[in-house]
Amino acid sequence: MREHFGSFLADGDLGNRFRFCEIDPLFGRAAMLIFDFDGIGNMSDSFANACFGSLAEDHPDDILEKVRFRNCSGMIRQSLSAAISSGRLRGSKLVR
Amino acid sequence: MFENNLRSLLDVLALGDHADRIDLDFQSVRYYVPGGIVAVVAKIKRWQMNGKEWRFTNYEENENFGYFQRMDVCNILGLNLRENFSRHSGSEDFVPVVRVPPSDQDVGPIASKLSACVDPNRGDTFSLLQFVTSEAVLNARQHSGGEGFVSAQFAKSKETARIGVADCGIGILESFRSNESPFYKQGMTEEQALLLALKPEVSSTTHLKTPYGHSPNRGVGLSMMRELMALSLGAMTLVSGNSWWFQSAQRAPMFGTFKHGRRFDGTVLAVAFLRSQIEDYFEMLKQARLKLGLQVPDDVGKIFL
Repeated sequence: MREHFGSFLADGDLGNRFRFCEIDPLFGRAAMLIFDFDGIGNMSDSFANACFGSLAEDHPDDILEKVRFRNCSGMIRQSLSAAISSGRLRGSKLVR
Repeated sequence: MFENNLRSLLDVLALGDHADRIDLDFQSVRYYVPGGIVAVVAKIKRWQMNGKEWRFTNYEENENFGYFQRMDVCNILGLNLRENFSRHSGSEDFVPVVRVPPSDQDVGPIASKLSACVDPNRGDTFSLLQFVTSEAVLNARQHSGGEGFVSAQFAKSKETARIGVADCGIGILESFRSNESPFYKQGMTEEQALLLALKPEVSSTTHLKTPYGHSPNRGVGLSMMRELMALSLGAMTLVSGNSWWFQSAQRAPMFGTFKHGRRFDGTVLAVAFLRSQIEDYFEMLKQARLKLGLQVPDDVGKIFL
């Protein structure tokens, strides 16, 4: 992630584009996607929601099986958990 | 001018909306805060769009005008005034006014630069300001439809970090209306729209599809800023159209409308944080999310290696 965005994952617009252009095409094909947060010091809610919350909304069940996060600080972990949990909630409601 | 009386400045500036020629008199100006500076810039940009003549007066006698110039206000307005000081890089207590970047440009570096002026050691205050600044700048970019400006300042004597973002765009109500937001109701006032925008998970664009599928916006930025400001015992002002909202620390917010048809065409957001109250950014985020009901149960623990 640091190679793509630097140490601060800030921009929801860029996070949204990254999900659409980089993650979505791989999601159906890859057995597992691992995101490395080494060197990431901070992340905005906009980025977390646009990138990973939306991914969870589209794949509320698969995301738990196919996505892993590595080298997350406590703060990053909390932000990702909130974004992915609420995304899964939205996705599950849509499915129902 | 500070966050608590920023609306008074905007009230006075609105007098210029009905004049063909406007003089901005600097004789009595004693202190500049980022919210006031970017609001003046956005207002003048709007006057320029409307073909109005404007000028600065009595600035040469004002001993504080140099600070205004150091903030690059004159450059951004295309005004060439003589500078009675030497510019040097590396100042740690303010960041000159910069334009809100376009959507293909990462807001992260701007947010980091502004935050580093307040907390060069890059501790918890730096992280908090990165978060808030990036959300504020994104808001202006995603909703205003017009030019936006941002600035930051650190007042050492009171340990106060300030951020100001202003634009001369369409304002909050028009953003809800023109995007056909499901939150928009026929006859909604600008005050109602402003109060609505401060609620969690409310945004004028959440429902929109973009070339990248989902909207990038979940509408949590302003409400998180408000809670983080309250936790740091700071202050926050939001102004859009004919309406204003202000909250100091954890006191009940005040809000209202400008009188006599006065308004600010666009949106101004000014936030102040007390650095001494920012001890644990992680904990502040957690508390803010809890307060807003955004901290859902962590049922995804297995995804972390």
